[in-house]
Amino acid sequence: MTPSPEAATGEIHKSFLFWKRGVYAKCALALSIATIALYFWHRPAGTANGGTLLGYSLGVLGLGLIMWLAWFGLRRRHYGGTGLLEGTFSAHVYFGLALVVVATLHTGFHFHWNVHTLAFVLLLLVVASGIFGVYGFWRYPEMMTRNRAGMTLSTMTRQLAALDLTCRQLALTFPDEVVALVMDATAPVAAGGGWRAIGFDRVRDEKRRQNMAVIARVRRELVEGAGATPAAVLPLVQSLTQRVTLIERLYRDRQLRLLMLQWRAVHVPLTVALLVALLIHIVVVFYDW
Amino acid sequence: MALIRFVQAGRNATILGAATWLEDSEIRIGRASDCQLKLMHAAIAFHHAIMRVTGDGLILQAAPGAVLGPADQLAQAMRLAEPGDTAQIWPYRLTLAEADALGGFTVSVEQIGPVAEDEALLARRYFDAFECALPNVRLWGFALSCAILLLFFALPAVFAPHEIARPASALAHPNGAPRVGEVALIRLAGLWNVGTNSRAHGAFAGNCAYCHEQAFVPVRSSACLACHQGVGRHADPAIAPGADIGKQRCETCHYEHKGIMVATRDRQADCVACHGNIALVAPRTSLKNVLDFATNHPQFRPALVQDAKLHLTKRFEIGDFSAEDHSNVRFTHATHLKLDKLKTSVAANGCAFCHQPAPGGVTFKPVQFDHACSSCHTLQFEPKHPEWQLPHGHPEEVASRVAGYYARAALAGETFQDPTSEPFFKPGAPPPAPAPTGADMVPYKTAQVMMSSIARSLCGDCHTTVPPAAGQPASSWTVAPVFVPDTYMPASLFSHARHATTSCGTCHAAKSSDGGPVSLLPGIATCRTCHAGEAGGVGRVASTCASCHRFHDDQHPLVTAAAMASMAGARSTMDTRATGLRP
Repeated sequence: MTPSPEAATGEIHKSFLFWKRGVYAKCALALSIATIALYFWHRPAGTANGGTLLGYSLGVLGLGLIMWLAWFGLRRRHYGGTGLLEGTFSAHVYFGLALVVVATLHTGFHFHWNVHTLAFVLLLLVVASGIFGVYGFWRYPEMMTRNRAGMTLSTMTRQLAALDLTCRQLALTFPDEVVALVMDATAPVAAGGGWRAIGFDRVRDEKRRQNMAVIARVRRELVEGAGATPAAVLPLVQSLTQRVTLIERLYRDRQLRLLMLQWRAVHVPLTVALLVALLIHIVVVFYDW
Repeated sequence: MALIRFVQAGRNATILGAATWLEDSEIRIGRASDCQLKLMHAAIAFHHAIMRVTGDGLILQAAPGAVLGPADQLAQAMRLAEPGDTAQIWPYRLTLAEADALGGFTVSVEQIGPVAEDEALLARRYFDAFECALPNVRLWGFALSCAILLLFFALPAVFAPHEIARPASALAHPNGAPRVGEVALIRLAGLWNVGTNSRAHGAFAGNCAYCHEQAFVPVRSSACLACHQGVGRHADPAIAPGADIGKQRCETCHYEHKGIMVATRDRQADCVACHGNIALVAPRTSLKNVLDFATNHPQFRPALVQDAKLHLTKRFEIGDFSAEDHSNVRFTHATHLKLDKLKTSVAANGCAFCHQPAPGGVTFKPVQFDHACSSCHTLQFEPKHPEWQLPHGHPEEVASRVAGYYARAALAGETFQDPTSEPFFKPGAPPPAPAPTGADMVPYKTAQVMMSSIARSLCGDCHTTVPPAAGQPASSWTVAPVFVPDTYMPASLFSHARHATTSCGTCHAAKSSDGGPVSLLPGIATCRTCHAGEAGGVGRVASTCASCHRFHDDQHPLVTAAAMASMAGARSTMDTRATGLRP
């Protein structure tokens, strides 16, 4: 029996962290411990800084790691985003974390308002966004699958369009007030801008409140105002309610997808910026040697 | 009674009750079930319009709040009189057809616009709204990179180095405050600055090229020596060729951009590398090997005076019984501190009764006779006239002062009992010759005073005195020159002020010191009670070599005049920065 696609996804999106029993996690941990030990063993003349023998060594090591980690992103793009090599991804994650240790020790804990500290801060932001990305990969796919209930985005949006038209059609047999309410309720939703949509829960709750208010008014309008029978009202109210459920799913889906993917909007541009800042850092350090 | 019928035209019209002849004079048009013409569209009201048959044709009257189209010609009422006249109710077009034989009106209803939104289009809109379009990461990356390149590279590169050609003093406004533009330049240069500049070099911190003379070349020592011209050598290259700092970079030991102080390399290992086995690098040196102050450091060897006139010193180890000090002063602390009078004064004033700190507090001012000694040691030579005293510090005037006194006395007719004559003499022996009087008294008494006072009781109490050469008169007695150095350990940086928290007696056993400086100077064991080596110790101060020794030590015994001359020569070959302007 072949495993269901969902189960397979659930395995793959987490297993990279334990690839080959976490061999890269162990390597990265060993690297971190080794550099920390070297840092405390090394007794530089003056204070520890990036210009001592160990400082230069850590700098070269950090540069190498950054180039290799950035190369991973380029290669991923080259493979079209699907040929993700699990082992390489595992190494990318763990050596990215070890890079923080290496880079921090390279600084010797000297931070100032300059291009050198800028490069370090960019590095921290890149790693932090990467950590969030890993967390998203770990957590959100399952939630997305659950939320979609077997549907795709395309299915859901087509259903929503159909429900909109159904509601409007059903409303036509009721008085003008009801038609106006239903037309308002089914006016196409704007999902909102990229970053604002991460205020998901607030947006979603607001939408739900509006929609439920519309449904309540439609019922009141029909049953009390027009004196329609509940049986006549039921199809319209049912369709409206289905529509609200579907819209909530869509908002939730968008929210989860943003949470899972939006970190790349930080990770990638900041990586490019980091490489530039790093280049300036190196040039400047040796320009004014 | 006219008849009206509605016929459906086109394929999409969805009208209810079409094609039937209606006999009503008023036709209700709308979505409601009691309408004769039911047009199901969201924009069409429940009861949208009424159509009446009049003599002029059909009048279409919209209900209050409803309108008739088309959209660009909205109206409340419309008339369909001639065949072909049209009216529009949202997507439906009503056209009056030719009247038939019976005179009934036939109105064709055609759907000319969509009744409902296109489902596929709506679905597409929803899809676009809910699909996450990620920001253009390449664009953002490019934009960020450009911003960083501009702010952190281009601006400092273009503007900050313009300061190169200006001397440091030009950075400052005549009133001391830098100009606004200069502040901006300093800030810009600061974006490249790897760390806080020291206060000492802060005046030209915005001017990178002041020290970083050439791109991609480490800071050269010539840049430092342009200002630091007086820096001393470490050792005579002739004795220790490896210690020639003229061949080394200042940056090897001194670090800028490390905070408000210039950081200086201060590691025992660096010193011990040579001084651990000094003979290897300086075979002719008299220095002894040292590994660590606490565990392996030679006993102190104070420089004791060998010739007070020529200021010649020789180093003797503490505890060396052959150590001799020829400062030509006879003084022991042990003797003096036993005296009741001195006990009182010392109890009141401490050692400061005699020893006043020199400015800076490192050493002490020379002990002055007038200040410290004269209250006990009067220099009167004739009890009859205590106001007549020998001139201290001017031995060449002593004989004339004494002779002058007795000449004055002789003129006044005074006589003096001869202190050498005995009041009693042996029976039978000839009585002693009477002391000379008058003019003869002057040379007689002068010689007598010089013999007794200079050689023994007065000057000789404290000073080494020199008897006259053979054949010279007694008035030629003189006092040997005195030389008491202000420090006995010139190679150390010991500061008394820095040790003021402890009492003098902690290190100097003055009460039991019955000899010269050898018996008073503390040995290394005394220092070690508080000072450990570089590694430190519980309750002890971690002390490196540089805690007590200068590296650039022009006064060090090893640094000879020849070494200083070669240093000066090295400076003269350095670049033109010494003039204050750079090429």
